[in-house]
Amino acid sequence: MMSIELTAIFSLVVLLAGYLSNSVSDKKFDLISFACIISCTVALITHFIFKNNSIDSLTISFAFLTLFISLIITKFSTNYLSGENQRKKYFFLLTLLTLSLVLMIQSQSIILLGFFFLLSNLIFSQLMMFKKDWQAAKTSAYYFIKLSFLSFSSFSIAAFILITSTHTTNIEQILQNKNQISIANQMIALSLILFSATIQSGLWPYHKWVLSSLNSFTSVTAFMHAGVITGGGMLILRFYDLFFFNRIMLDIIFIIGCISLILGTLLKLTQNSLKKALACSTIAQMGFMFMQIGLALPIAAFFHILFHSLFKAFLFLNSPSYINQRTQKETNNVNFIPIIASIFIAFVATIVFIKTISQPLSFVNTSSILNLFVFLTALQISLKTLKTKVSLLSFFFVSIIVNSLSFIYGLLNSYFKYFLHDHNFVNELPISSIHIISILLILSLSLMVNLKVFGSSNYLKKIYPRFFVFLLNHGQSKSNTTNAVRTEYQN
Amino acid sequence: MTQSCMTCELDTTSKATIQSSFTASKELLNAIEKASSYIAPVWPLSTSIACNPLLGLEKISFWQAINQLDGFDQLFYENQEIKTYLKKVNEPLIKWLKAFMDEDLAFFKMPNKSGGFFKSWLDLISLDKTIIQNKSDNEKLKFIPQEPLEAIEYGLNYLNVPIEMYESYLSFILNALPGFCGHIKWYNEWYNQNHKKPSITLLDVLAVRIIITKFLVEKHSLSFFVAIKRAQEKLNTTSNKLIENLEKNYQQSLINQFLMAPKSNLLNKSTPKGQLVFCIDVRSEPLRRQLEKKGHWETFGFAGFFGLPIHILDENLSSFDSCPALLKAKHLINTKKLPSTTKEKITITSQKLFKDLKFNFGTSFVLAESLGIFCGIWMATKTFFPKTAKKIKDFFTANPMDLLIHKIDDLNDISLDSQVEIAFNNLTAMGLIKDFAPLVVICGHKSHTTNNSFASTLDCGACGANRGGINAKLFAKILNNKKIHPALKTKGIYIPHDTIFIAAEHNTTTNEIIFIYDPDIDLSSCQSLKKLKQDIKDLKKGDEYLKNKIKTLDWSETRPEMGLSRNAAMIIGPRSLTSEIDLDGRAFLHSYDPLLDKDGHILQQILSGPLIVAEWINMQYFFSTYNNKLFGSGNKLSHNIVGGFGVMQGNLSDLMHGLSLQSVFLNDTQSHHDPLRLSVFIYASPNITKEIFSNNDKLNELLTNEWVHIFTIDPINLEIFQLNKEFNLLKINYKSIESI
Repeated sequence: MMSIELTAIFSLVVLLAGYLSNSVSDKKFDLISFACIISCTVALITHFIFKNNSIDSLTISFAFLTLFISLIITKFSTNYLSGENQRKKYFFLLTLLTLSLVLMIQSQSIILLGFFFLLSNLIFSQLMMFKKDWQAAKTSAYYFIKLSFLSFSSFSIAAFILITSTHTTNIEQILQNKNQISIANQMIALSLILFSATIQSGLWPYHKWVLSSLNSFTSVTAFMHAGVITGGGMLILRFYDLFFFNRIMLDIIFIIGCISLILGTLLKLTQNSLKKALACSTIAQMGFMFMQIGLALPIAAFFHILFHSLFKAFLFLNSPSYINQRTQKETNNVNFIPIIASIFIAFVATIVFIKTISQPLSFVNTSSILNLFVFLTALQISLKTLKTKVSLLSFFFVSIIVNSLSFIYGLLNSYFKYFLHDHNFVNELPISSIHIISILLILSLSLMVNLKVFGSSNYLKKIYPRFFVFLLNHGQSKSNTTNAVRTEYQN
Repeated sequence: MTQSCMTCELDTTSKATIQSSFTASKELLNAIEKASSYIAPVWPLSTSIACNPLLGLEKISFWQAINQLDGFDQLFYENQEIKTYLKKVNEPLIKWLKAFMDEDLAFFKMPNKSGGFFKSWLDLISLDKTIIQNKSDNEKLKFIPQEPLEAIEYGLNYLNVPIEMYESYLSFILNALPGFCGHIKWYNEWYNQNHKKPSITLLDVLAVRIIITKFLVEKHSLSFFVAIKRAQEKLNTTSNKLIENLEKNYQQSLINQFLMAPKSNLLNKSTPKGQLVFCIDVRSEPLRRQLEKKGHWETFGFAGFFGLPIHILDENLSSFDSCPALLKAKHLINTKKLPSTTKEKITITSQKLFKDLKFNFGTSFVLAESLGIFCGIWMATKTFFPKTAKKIKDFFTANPMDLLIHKIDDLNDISLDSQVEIAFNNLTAMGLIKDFAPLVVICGHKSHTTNNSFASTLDCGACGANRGGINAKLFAKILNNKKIHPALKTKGIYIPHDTIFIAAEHNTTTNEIIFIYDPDIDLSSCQSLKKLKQDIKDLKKGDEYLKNKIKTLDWSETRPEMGLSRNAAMIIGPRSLTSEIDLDGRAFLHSYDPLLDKDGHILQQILSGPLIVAEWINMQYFFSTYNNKLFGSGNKLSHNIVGGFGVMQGNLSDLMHGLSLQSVFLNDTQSHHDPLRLSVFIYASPNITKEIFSNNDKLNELLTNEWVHIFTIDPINLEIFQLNKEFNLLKINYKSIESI
């Protein structure tokens, strides 16, 4: 049985040979790309089935996610890029990126992790500036490269500290020997890793590169939001054991996450272009994932990375469909009875969710914060489907739908909890005041958005223009990455 | 389509603002009006109607327009000062234009939009630190007039723009963003919807742009103006020999085919098993030829809206015009209020719900988690098993447009008199007033693509870039209406009792015909219908059909069909004239019988309606190929949908109008469309044709300025003449292509 590393390295050699050989045509090279991705997937599945202990469940999941998305995007690109002159180069880079990401995910050594981390970013930047004559795309890519090196340097210093403190490069052993690292060193190393992850996942205050990254093909952007950007989350999860014992770091992660969530969502709601709105949404989603880590709920964070990737990849690839939705816009007012009915349904759905994941009902643990998000979503679905009139039949119908969704969601959650049981992730913390303040802030913003209060009170009317202009300007891409002059854009 | 339809050209919005309290100098008013007239309208992408991107320049010669365009293009590349200016000013302007014009995507909308673009912008501008950068700027802001026109004059004075440069300067700055300005022009002059949207005019854009320039650029140098003037004065009529040769070659080969084709067909005519009326679209021609080859079918070409200027109102879909942009909709058609089916409910609720949850605060996180796995499975199914994905989708949801066609069921919204008039005009214009076959099929057309923001560019332009089925169904229903038959008989059209009219749609992506309506009578005994269905089934055989069928379902397909690419000619005359010629899907075919039109009245209608539409389409394809960066929308792969009405490139750009690279190019370098001007062949007396062209201003302009080539085929002796720009008739004989 071949290990994943060997399969990936072998694929790499075949890929390189295929790319350099002139006798391999564009169409044949597609097949080589597929073969590389599929052979890695097969190696991974074989490992999974035979429960080889050399790889843990977290690695398997991330690697599988990367390969799955890459497979879809590679197949999608075969037609999508037809007629493109440098088609072969595109497939080469895409497959190379996939292999590099897989090697990064499964690397046990902190040095290799750092190396493949940088390599993946550099390959990705080549995909970003695929059209060499397109200056704006090039600038976007250079900006990303600059940040990548910053992130890499910071990670390298962290790695150096960890290696010198524990005398090993193996990540597992570093985590096991965490007691050998002095508190000060731990703080420095974790801050640096966090800094590196913040840049990679496009979180506040390093979110600008995500907003400036849309000068590339839709398939590349989809891969970026599904694979590259999640690297930050993966990094933190790899060192979660260190973070967990450092509550200050957890709080910092929570706060960065919370700010990114709020900022990302507000920016998303101000965007008037679809891809930009999706990019802002990713910032918010990554913020949510960081919040989950900050709440000491790594399984939830892992779950979020996984499904958000699939969700976002689909939305990007499907973005051209947006134009053809010709349904009328709805402007219904919210009435009292539907609100009460919806609150009831949402409450039951939340209980169903909690029971499905067999969690004790608690209001003092951090997991209750996630339950609150479940409640909010269930409430919104019920409100929108019940609309203005509530009949017994519609109430019954909506209850069934919302509760079954909540049940399925719970089932998926429990499955992953079971799946990741080899990781002794310690779950949950008692809720602190920081958590409560942040959640209250999010709740009140959510309420303000849903009740559309911005035009109602005089005070809000006064500050709204300031708020709007701030968000509008903040949501702009870096100025030299735009195509403001028509002739500067390159096909 | 009448001559009067052309008068809907200039709306009064801009003029009304001009006539407000402030009295601007005559030179300025003149300059603004002229500069605005050069901008061509840009339709929203959901109903993207083709239009000549140089519509405003049709008043000058075609070659002058091309040379001017090349001059501008060069200017953007070469002059550093102009480049810096455009970069500095375009970006903030686009930012504000998008924010104001977006009605669809953003939840937080620009405040106080009701006051119009300029006023609401002026209210906010002091907060925009990228434009108002310091205190002194803030002070200066107090001196900016509140009215756009006044602000323009103030700004022009501040920037020291010489009065004689007003027109060229304003025209230049509007043309710096032809996409957004064109869309604003469409909004003010061509938008037929009833509900009022916030006001934005080209005057507002000029005012905002000039004020931004004042703050960010301060002054223009003299060489800046000189460069603009020089570019605009490139009015030489030097022609592009390459294009001219391509045109000559194409025309001569077509003429040779006309002259060589057997003539007997023009006289022999026996009643066929069935008659099919198609749209004039170039994609109809190959299908018509294939059907005719079967031997039993006679086909006609007519503008695909079938003379029905209608506006559709439906409870679920946004209302829309289903007629050419040149016409104002006359009849409001309400769709039948049927109880919604489960599929329909699922489709509509899920679309609305998803958008609501996605663009909300706090709900999108759990949404992403709970839908993630389904998105993954769905993505994989769509990518690897598109047919299965389609089946699943069809099981749960319904196509809203299919439902809409189903719900259009009665003729109550069109009076009986109008029905008679529509039937009479259409049948006479297409030359079908006698010898009706037992079966007449009215065939609109539609395209079928997946995940394609340019889908509407492939639909029926005559139906306002919508599916042609709606109009086809209504027209067939009108003709089936026995109540109008007596009135038609008195006007000389006798429709036999046993003739039935059914409606169908030609799917241009797969090249198949789908029946969408037949009258409520027993059709089992109708042999013609059976035969037609068999013949249509035969067309579906072959690899080409299967390949196209997969293209309709493939969500990664960027070239599902090449649309009207390669269009080059329009032929107005009976089908017998062209039935022996393979036109290779390059010609618009409009049926016309000169014997029914002694005074040329019908011909004039065809020339001032369908010809103009064909010329717009032709020019859109021409310029999208000639300069895709300026007049096309570039590579589909990096499109970013803006405001729900169009696309930008990447992070931010002008609204990309025109066709995408993939619509006219086979790959990065090889074009599929040949940029040729439309060659129009008219089967009518050369003198009548000449008279129509000299009497109609618009047609006159197109001919004398060489935007189209006009040929006439004399019905008496089949001699072919070219009507040149000096209005001379030049006889064209057979000539081998090599000798050209």
